[in-house]
Amino acid sequence: MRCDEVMHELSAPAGRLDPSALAGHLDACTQCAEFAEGSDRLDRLWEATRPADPTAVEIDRMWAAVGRALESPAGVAAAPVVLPMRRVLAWLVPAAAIAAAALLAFAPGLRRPEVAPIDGGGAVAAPALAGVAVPGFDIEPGEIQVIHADDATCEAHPMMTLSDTDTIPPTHAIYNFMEDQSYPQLELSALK
Amino acid sequence: VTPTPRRVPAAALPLALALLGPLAPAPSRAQVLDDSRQVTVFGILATPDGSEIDPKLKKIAPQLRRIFPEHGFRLLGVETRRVEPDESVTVALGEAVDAGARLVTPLDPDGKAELRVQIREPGRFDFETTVNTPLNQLFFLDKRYPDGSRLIVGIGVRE
Repeated sequence: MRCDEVMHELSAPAGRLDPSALAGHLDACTQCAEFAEGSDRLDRLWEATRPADPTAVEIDRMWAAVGRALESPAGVAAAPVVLPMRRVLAWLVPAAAIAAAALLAFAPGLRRPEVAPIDGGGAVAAPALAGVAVPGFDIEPGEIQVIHADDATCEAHPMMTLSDTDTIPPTHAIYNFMEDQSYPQLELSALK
Repeated sequence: VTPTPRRVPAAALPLALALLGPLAPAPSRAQVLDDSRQVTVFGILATPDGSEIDPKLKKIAPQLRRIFPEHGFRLLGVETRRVEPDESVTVALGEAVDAGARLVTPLDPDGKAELRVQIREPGRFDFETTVNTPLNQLFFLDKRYPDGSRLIVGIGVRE
């Protein structure tokens, strides 16, 4: 079981993983355990701060207003606003965000590109330094490249490929760590 | 209180279809993702034959040692920020060096972000190039110094 599978399941539970195996992985993997804890805290934060769902009365009033607007000779623009708009918007905005997230997660054309296997190292020379700038580099998914500023060459770093014992590429751990260093810590003291 | 059945005006269905209709065709990634990106830039000084690890880097020492064996490491700086196209993230790496990345294109046709990246030592060294990188993936710039140490700049872009 790979860490990315675990994190995917934690982020969007779909029952893809055996619960006992998942629990076993979380017991053994500090990074995923921390991710799970963060996910739980986010869930608690959402539950503590989410706007209230509109009541049935409010929904009926909204549809009634829509109906009146459509039946009005002047059209929608002339319809009086009788809804508690702030509350409706507070409900609609998260709903739109959830819909967008679902669209991103499930629309095939919108998924992030699959990571291709690393096809080995080998230096790729760019034209020599000319003044202060050199032509660009194009990095493929899954390749961890080091661009040497001294001679404007680029090479895949062999030590960054996944070994048999890796569950997560070392650069992912470094990337997450660096973001944690820079982000202000979110205080959830009210939820502790 | 027993909830009453909701009456939906007949006119509501055409309205809903009119509102949702534009969503029916699958939009492109560029239409759905906004143009801002989370750009992270950090710098580490790697010293050969060194065993000292900056306490701030202790948590990722095993990963760093796998990437650059037999080096000591010192964190010089890190910055992560959400930027719009043409905005930059710059981090000071000591007193006289800085590194930065400017978001040129948030999503190119290959699904990558285009960055203009730079390592700069005013009056001594200025390296600048363009990099098209997949999202959520680090790449590195490095610069060697006469004493054998290396400035390693890591850069990554997320959605």
